[in-house]
Amino acid sequence: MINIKRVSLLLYSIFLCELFFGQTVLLHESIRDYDFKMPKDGPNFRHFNHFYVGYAFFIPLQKENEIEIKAGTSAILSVGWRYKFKITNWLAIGAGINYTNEIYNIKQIETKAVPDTILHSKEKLRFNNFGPDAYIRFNFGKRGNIIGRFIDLGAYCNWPFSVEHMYEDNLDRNTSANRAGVERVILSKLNYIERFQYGFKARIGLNRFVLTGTYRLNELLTEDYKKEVGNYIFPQLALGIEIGLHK
Amino acid sequence: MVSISRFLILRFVAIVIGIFFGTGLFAQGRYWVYLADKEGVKFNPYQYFDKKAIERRIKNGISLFDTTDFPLRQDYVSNIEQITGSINCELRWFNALSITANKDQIDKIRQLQYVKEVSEIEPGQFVTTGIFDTILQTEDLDLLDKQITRLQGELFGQYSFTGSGIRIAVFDAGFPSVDTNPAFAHLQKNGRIIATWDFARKKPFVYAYNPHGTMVLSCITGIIKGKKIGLATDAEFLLARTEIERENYAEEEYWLEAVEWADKNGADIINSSLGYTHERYYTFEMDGHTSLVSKAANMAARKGILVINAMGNDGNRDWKIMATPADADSVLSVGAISPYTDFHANFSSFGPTANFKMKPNVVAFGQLIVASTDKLEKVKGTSFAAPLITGFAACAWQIMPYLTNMQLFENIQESGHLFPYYDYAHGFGVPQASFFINNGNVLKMESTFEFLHEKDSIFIKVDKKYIDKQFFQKSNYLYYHIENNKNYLDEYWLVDVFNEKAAAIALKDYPNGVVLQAHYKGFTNSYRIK
Repeated sequence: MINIKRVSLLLYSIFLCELFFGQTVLLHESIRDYDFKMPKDGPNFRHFNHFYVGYAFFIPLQKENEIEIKAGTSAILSVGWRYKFKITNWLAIGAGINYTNEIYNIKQIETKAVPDTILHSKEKLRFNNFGPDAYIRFNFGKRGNIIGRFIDLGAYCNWPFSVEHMYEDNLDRNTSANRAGVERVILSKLNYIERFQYGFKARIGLNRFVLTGTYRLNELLTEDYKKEVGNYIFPQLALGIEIGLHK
Repeated sequence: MVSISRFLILRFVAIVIGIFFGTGLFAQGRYWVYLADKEGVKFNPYQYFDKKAIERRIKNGISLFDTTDFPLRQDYVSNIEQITGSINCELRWFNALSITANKDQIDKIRQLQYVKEVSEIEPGQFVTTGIFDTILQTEDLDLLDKQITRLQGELFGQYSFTGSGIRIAVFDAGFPSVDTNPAFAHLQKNGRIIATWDFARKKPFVYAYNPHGTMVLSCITGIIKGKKIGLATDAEFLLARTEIERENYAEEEYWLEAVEWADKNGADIINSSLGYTHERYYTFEMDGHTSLVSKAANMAARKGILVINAMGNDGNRDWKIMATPADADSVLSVGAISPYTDFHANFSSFGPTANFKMKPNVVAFGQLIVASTDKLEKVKGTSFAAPLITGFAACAWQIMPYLTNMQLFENIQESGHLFPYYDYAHGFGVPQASFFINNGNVLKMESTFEFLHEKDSIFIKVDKKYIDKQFFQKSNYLYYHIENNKNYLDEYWLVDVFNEKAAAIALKDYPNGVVLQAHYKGFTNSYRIK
């Protein structure tokens, strides 16, 4: 009942307002608000910056000493900010910073040696990295105020501020100590991981849609550790996609 | 493991190569080569043109020996072909040819004495329609009637004006099922499809690919179970496939080629839903003179063809204004209104052009019923408003065959339900068949409102007897605008009126000399602010 009263009151108020003002504006356009001048900013201007997200998969290159990983689940999630400085219509340079979450899902096979030779149900190394990159961009064709087609070639450096070694074992449930059935262990502050990563980056894009490739040049394991376990390297190539968060 | 990773790498490399070479980034690019002259070229208009094209030229007082119609010098063409290996197309009107070439080849071509200019062909984008996947409901049958009656199209029908003798070229992305669809049975039966050409595949077969063209054609000429979808049911047609998906380099070339083809084959009207916007241009370039397609559309108009183009569907996006070539002076640009509110449909692009010329010229329903490949569908987009006007124009031209294309253009504007009022959302409004049936005579409406100057304001006072008081069925639409001293609009409004004092303009906001013009229920009046 109260609701009906309220609705009636609202309708009556609208009716009175309409009577008072004499009109309901259905459309109003002011041409003075239209801007037919060269825009002052945007993707095809001297200074442009934007955020992006990306996802890439590690691609094993079948090198002899390459650590075998599970393809498809070994990947990099990245979130970053990028700045572009346009020099000519076809050339630009830029830099950015990004956070990356790298996961190496290590295959549990007899020859496994890194981080150790123990076999588990699942085993991963997870890197949380932060670092800058720089690039040179080649653009193609006349375009409006859009990024258009481009190729970026650049380099990056990452600081792995947190690295975790995670593994999981299935236990014998029939023993009283192992009722839970699964044991998960996370080890951090690993002393066998290099303090920095660096490598090349390449991107091919059309506006906000980008194919990415990164190739890490250095090895992730410290020299001391390699002397112990052997000269193993993690996969260096990752291919993926990136979405620019801009118009 | 080995096979998976190799597969992934190969896949990625294939994609990269596809993007690079498929779009010609590193390998070859597409270019326009403009030639310097047509000296010594022979041209026989009676061999080249269709009979109707010659008739149109004579009617419009256009020379049959206009050099823009002459072919290109074949010695120039074959020299260039020797360098590149092939030619994509030739454009007589622009004395130009399209080629695919690498940098070395282009450098050689630039050095040729008879080459005036070389410019890269840029990719672009076409106007698309909105979502259109609705099954036809009973209420949509009313819409099918309304899309005709809103233009007073039933009057054309009563007097048997059906676009007979008018030849219409339709440029679109494909016409699947037009050869078998019952909505076009009358075209097939009476041999009304005069010529077809697929400019992408260089073949006459166009009855496949994207169904957009089928839907557009139905808005011009379709009949289903005796009900008209479009008005020009007896017109003749030239069907050109000029748009393809995933090949945005070539489409502009196809469109330009198709204009010449339509001219050669005697087209009276061209209907196109082409439109380039932010992918290639800035808004300040929408001035009717910058893009090649707008130049071509204007040239087609100079040759006596009425070019009708959709405004575009960017009204509720950042771009907001029309897509080129709808910006061209001589193109009849068509915007959309909603059949449910009878005013501007929010997706329909606004005018004016970047140099403040009025666009759109007229409007029609932008949400309507069309014949698709195998069923009737409700669709929306200015792509479908434009062909409704094309059908209307064909009937109007049948009534007044003595009009030139630009006279017809002006008459269609004058037949708009708002004329002489206009704004940049509705143009002159929805064309009305009664204007042509009555030979251009319009009933003079009695005054429905007056201007009142009180203190610091001008009021628009509506006559009480013209205010419909039915609360939920009101359509007391008052249109008014302010035209500045440079003869374009500063502001415009559409309001629904409840009270006699329907609108007020504060004088302090405007300089002397601006004109307040208003339109209410068929009556238009102006007031110069002093």
